[in-house]
Amino acid sequence: MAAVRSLAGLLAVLALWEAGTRIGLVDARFVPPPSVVLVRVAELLGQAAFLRDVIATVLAWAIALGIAVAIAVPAGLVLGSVRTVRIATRALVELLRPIPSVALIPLVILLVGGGPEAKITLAVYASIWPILYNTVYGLGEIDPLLTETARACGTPRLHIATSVALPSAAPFVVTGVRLSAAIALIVVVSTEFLAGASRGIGSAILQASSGAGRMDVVLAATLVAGAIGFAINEGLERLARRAFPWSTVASTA
Amino acid sequence: MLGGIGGRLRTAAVALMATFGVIAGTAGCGLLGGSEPAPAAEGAPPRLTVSIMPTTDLAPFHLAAQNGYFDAEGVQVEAVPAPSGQASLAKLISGEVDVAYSSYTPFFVAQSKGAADLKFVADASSAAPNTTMIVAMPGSGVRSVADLAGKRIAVTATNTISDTLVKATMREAGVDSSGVQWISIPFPETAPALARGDVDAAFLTEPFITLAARSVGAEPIADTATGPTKELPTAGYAALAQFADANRDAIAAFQRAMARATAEAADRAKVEPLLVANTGIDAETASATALLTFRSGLDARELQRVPDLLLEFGVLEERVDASSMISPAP
Amino acid sequence: MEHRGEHGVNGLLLRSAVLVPALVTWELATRLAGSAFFPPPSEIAAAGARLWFSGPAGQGFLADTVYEDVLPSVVRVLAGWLIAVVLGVTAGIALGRSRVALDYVGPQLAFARAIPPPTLIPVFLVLFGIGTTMQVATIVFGALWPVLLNAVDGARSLDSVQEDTARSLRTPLAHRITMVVLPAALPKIFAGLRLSLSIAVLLMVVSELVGAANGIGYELIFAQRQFDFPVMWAWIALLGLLGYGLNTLLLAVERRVLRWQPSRAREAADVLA
Repeated sequence: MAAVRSLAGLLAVLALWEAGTRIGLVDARFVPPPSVVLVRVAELLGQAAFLRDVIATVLAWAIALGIAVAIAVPAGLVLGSVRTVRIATRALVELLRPIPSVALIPLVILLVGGGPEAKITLAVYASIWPILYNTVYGLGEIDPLLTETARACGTPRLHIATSVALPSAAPFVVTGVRLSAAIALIVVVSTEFLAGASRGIGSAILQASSGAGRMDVVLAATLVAGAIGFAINEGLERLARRAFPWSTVASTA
Repeated sequence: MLGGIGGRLRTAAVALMATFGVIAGTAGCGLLGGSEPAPAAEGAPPRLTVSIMPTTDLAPFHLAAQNGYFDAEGVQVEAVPAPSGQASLAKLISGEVDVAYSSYTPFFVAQSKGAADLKFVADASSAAPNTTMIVAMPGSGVRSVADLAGKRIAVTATNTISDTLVKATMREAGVDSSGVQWISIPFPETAPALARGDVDAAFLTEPFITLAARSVGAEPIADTATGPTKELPTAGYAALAQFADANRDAIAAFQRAMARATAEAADRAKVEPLLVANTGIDAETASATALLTFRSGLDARELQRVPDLLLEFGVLEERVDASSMISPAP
Repeated sequence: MEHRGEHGVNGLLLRSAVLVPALVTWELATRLAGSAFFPPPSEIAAAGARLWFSGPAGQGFLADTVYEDVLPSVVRVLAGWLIAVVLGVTAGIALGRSRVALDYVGPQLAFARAIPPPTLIPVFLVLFGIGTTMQVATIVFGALWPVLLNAVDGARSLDSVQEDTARSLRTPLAHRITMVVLPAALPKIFAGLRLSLSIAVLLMVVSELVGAANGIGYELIFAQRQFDFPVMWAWIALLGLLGYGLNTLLLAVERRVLRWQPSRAREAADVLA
């Protein structure tokens, strides 16, 4: 039933869009109707060059996310467990975090060139924070009874961390990873688009929008990017719900 | 209970690491789309990566690539697309490419600010008549250069050749340009902005002049490449001085191939199919568009006009000697 | 997360213990490296002082650029963010209370929020023309989703006891929304607000890349094009400080509003995002 309603909602939005361009509310030259754009999406997905772009974007995303997890989870574990370190670095973290990755694009490109390194670096930078914060928070949510019991049983500290703390904090970490996954994809595509960095969906959009400006291709590629992000988010959400069925944390923004 | 979670986590962790291992492996196969310099085999011709833009004056470059002139001269050339002159220069500075095509302004700004030490290896184009124009919509009230005072004019960005040429044209006509509002819009988005009335006039180069005339009916009101700015050098190819000195042979081969292709590009029939293939315009527009004058040999005196003009209008803060930036021709 | 320890003298000493050496290392490293791309922080600070504090006394010693660039940008961020908050909270709570409505639009919301906002700028340019409307629209579009989705989630996660009590007491809908649902959803909403704010700042920069004539993002790109690195870094630093300042303000508001909440929920709001 829910699926039917979702489909109905989707069709309603598409109908509105189509109607909007037909009655001239929006100039169809610059915002083509779904009848054109969806056809273009099907076309794009059949082109080898575009599929290579999609793979390039998704690969860069995966690598960036992997690096972000590898940095942020251990860092989060440390910060979450050792109070003095957390307080000491809080100001530094709070000052670095708000710097938008977009502002750093020109600099990063000058340093590492316009290849995949640039977008991966920026995506890692932007994705570290949600994982870091959520890991720290997750550690704070651990029932002290569990850790006390483990310690009373003589469990070594590291073992407590990996087999008591980490599993309990896991739902929160996964939520953080889910948020970061979304951010990482957006940063990768945005960097490709804003700086023409190597191949990817974003640079395909850029190429389509420069020159003669094929808005239908632009919108089609944008929809593909959105669909991938949607799929990733849904996938991670379902994974989290199955791995941690007791948790209510799994579904936040 | 905890052991069960730990077990599942462990499996998940292993699966994740395996996935990333595969990804890392495939990344090495260049699926990421980065420009991986393959190690040149012994005795193989030198390779040059050149960053290019989808503009009309790249036609000789594409002609040379298409007809194998680069290979004939003994150099392998690989093209890397860049969205703007600024991005192209950034790729050059970061070492991603060996030679960059761009309009001249970013090159001179970078040189004067000490951000890079550049050597021009070839000229690309200069402003032919009707290729760098100020356009406006028929009903906008802007009919001549005199009407531009205090208006909103679209340029790609301020402190580039775009606004400099407009200011120069206004000064020639004795019109004060200090009250103008410069709105930075990339060329593809300028025609809609004109049609909407967001800007009163715009500086455009071909093929956007033709495209704007067709799509929204914008009309040219002045040619900026007249008088003191007639046939002003517009774009060229540059390399880092260090690279140019260390790779004279490859650069010389590039220059020879470009000279040959540029001479041939005088035949418009050869150029138009390349425009359709590389600038994303259709055949009809390609035949209607005015073309920049294709150049390849660098003339120090002509080139000097550019930094002098930029200095005059405050884009550069000090004089740049163009002749010292020219890599000797073959 | 004991706040008292953080804000006392010990906290200050601890934080300086990290910040000061970090600054010193940064200064030393950049001086040693001598790269034009990484000017030392002292040069950046000097460039910033020249940029922003070189004005006449009548303007409070603030240079023109503060009024012409910084102020408009901040206004745009706040306007866009506030609109996103109002829209997001109202729509989010409405959707959160109605399972049916959520079924209709849920997937599309999740989809829309995965679209990278910079790629939609050409579309926004066409829809809104160039200028402040388009910039604010871009900010709203990007900043809406965290608020909306968190509000939905917050509205749904109502304690069943609270819900049943309100219903059994026949609380009128308006009261139920504002007095029961909204307060219970607030912790999650505030987490979304903070994420939304950082997105708003980011999109402010992005929206000023095209069709702008002033603004922090505009000046940043201009400095970068002029290869004026100390100035470029100064603007980047300003962005960081702006984000930090806005975030701190929001945190302060949040702490006051959530003061009566059980501490767990408060900390959730504190750390998430």
